[in-house]
Order: sequence, then structure tokens, then C-alpha cells
Amino acid sequence: MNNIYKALLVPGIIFLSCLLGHGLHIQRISGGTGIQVSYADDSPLAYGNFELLDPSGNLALKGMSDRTGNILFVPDTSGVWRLAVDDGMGHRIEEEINVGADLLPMAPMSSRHPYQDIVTGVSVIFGLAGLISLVTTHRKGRS
Amino acid sequence: MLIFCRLLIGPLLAHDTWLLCDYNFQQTPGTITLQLSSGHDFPESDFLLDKDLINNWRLWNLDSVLVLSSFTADSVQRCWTANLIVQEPGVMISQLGLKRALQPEPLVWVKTIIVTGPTVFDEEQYKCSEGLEIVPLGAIHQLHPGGNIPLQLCWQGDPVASSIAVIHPQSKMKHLRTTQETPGILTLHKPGQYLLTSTYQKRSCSLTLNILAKGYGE
Repeated sequence: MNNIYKALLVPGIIFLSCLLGHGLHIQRISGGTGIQVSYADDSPLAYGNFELLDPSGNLALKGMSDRTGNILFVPDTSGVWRLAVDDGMGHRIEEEINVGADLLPMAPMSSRHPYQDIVTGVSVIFGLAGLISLVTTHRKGRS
Repeated sequence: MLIFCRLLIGPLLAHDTWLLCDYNFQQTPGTITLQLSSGHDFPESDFLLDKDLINNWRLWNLDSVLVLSSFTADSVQRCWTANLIVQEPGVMISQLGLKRALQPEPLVWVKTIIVTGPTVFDEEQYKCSEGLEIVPLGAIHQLHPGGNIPLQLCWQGDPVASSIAVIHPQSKMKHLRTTQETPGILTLHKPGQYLLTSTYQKRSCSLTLNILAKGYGE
């Protein structure tokens, strides 16, 4: 009987080590960089396709935004990461994410002032009004 | 001026998705081609939709339903095309939804009505009773310029209140109001293809109609 145990011991150890060598482990982490993608009416782009390129231009991650339009990743190198999101219906947006040496995102490279859209819109309106006025005046002058 | 500019910019930025049929009321049997297009300037397609968005593209009449599983991309026309052989005259509806993976239901419903021969009008033939759809309440094959047709917006087969946009390549965009009790009345001034679109509770739909210079058979 002892001989049987001895004969099975080594194969048994090898077999068990094979079992333990496989398998998945989960470790919870915090932090990372998150982006939320939405349409002009603030509705989220749920399940939109995205591609993330690392600072070397290699594809680092590919997937879909979640149901609230969020995309989250943990950068493993500093530099400019490039994110492209496409809704498959003619809308596409690209964003550069500058990651510092501490692997944390830095301030946006092209930050927008909260009132930038309003200022732009008002400028467009005044510009159009001026153009229409110019054309009208020109026509009156000719007549 | 502000309202004017917002109205001006709105249509420029919004885009539509539609189904077109090239059958033009020809005699059966015959082949029809369905085209799924999307863009800002109906009937010209601006871009090819992602194939993964196309959900449950079907063709049906009162008797049967056919799921279109084979459709090809036309990179020149920037549209998806499906060819069908029609043996019998009558009315068919083609409808599909646009849905991203994991979304529980489509957010966009696209529909066209195909009249392939003489037919007796039946209001139920034009209704899919699924999703958001615009339902004509009159015989399409009898329509010609100068005629009217009531249009009802339905969600899951039930009338709902909203507005229907009417787009024709040679006409200005019009809007029709519909309520649960009262359909919108579309007056057809010109022949050709019409695109009707509407939205309801963050969903949108479209319906295309092909109006001949004279009604079918005239």
C-alpha cells in the first residue's frame, strides 16, 4: 500500500499544480481615467464603439461605452492617449488624454470654457445679422 | 434672430435614416431593391450605417413575414441594399430597427410600404404594430399630386400625439400635428419620394412614400 501511495504522490503533485496554475483572479482597483460620451442633447451614447490608442499609437483597448456612455481605463504609461468613439450612425468624436508621469490624467489639452458655446453662438448671430444688413444696404444702394 | 438661427442650424445638424424602394408599382413578378440610407439631404445618402446597428430587417404582408438576413453594402451609394423577388401583387411593408448591441430595444424605426400591384385598401396592411411607426390611413397606390392622406403616429400599434416632418427634395419641410384622436393630413403637391419622420419619447421613426404623377393603373 505504501508503494501505491508513493507511486501516486509525484503524479498527484504534478496534477494538482497544473490545476492551481490555471484559473482567474480578481483584484479590485480604484482610480483610472473615465470619459463620458453624450450627444448634444445630453443623452448618453450607450454602447458606442470606441478604440483607445496608447502614446505609441498602438491599440490598447477596444470596446463599448456602458449604458450611461462611460468609458474607463487605467493607463500604464505616460503620454498622450487617443480615444475615438463612433456611434455607427455618422457621429464620431476623438479626444486626446494627456497622462502624466504619475499615470494620472492631466488637464485637458484643449479645455473649453463653460460659456464658450454661448459666446460662439452669439458671435455667429451678430455675424449673420451684419452680413444680412450689408447685403440689404448694398441692394438699396444699387436701386 | 436667435430663434431663426437655432431653426437654421437644427436641420443642418440632424440626420435621418430611411428605406427606399425602386419598384415603382411595376407589374409582378419582378425584382425590387430596397435601399437603407442615412444622411442630411434626402434622398442622397451621406454615410453607410454600421451593419451591427441593423436589427430585425423584415418584409411582410398580411399573410407572412420574411426576415432579411442577406443585404450588401454599396460603398458608392453609401447604403445597404436587399434584393427581393416579388411573385404576387399586393402590399408589403419593410421595417427594421437601429439598435446598438446590448440596447434592449431600437431607438430608430425605419419603414417603407411597397405596393406591387392592384390591391384593395386595408388600413391594417400598413401597420406593423411594433415600435414607433407612421401609419397612412388611406390607400397609397391611389395617391397622386393634389391628393390628401391622413397620417397617424403609433407606438406599439397605439396612436400617440406628436409631430410628423414631411421632406420632399423639391419642397420646403412641413410639419403635421397628430394627436391620439386626430391624424395629421398630408397634402401632396408634387410627385416623387417623400420622407416622413417623427419622434416620440426619445425614439424616432421614418416612412418613405413614392407618389406617382398619376395614381397606379391610370
